[in-house]
Amino acid sequence: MAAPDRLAVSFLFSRECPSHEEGLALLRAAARDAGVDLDLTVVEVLTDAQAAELRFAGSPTYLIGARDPFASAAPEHAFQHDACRAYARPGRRIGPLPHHDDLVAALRAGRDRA
Amino acid sequence: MSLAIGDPAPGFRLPTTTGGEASLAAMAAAPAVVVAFWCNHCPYVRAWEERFDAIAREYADHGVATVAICANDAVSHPGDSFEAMAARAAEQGYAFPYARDDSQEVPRAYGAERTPEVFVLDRERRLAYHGAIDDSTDPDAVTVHHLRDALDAVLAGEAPERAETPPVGCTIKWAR
Repeated sequence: MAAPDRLAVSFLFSRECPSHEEGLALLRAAARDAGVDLDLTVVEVLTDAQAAELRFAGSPTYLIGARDPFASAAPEHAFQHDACRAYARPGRRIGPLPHHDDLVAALRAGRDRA
Repeated sequence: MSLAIGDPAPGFRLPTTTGGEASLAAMAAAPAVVVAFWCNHCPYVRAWEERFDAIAREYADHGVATVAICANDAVSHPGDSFEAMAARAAEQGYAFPYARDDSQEVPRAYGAERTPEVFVLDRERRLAYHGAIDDSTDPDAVTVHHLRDALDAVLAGEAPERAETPPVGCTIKWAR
């Protein structure tokens, strides 16, 4: 249970994807810019069974207040621990991490819901 | 274990999405060959796709042959099936053949582990460069153009200044 003034965020990652450290740094920077204090849980996904249990959409996944702000209707593959996640980025680009501004907006929305 | 710089490149003959075949032997006249391990689903491939295609297009004018090979297990990753590959190649208008390796022998022979991961072969088909396409998934943040630099060197008959960089991408999805 997060402290009342902190936003519960889970960062799910796999070491199979090289973006996890950058993704965590991105989260911290976005939280700073959103003015949000994080109650952060970092979870390394190690097996397909764990991926299925967590409905892991790929590394990294951000759960903000238990919600996945970047969820897509249909994942492109089954839940697997070594999946890297695709994020839509400005300019109709795809990349391995969300854009900073999108993560800031997601954190603000999460804070407003809490 | 990956090929070492200077090693002779293993040959291959694979079906492509346009109904043909891609083989190293058929590229004998090219002054350089780019072999890229590729797939559909990986966000790193998607991030580099446009840039890689532009490089293939541009260097084809200098005679460079490029082939992309998808060896990912299509059972666990149906988005990388031959049919999905054909759709992606057509949709994006790839300037290079997109080949399928169901056996997964070619990435094993090259020692490839990720997508995208590129191997540049010189005129003698020895490995001249191995690694990433450039130094950022974000096209606006690129400062070093590894693949272009390697091709420029090979076309000039020189060894690339930087022959190896760490490939950045998804792991190749081996059959389980």
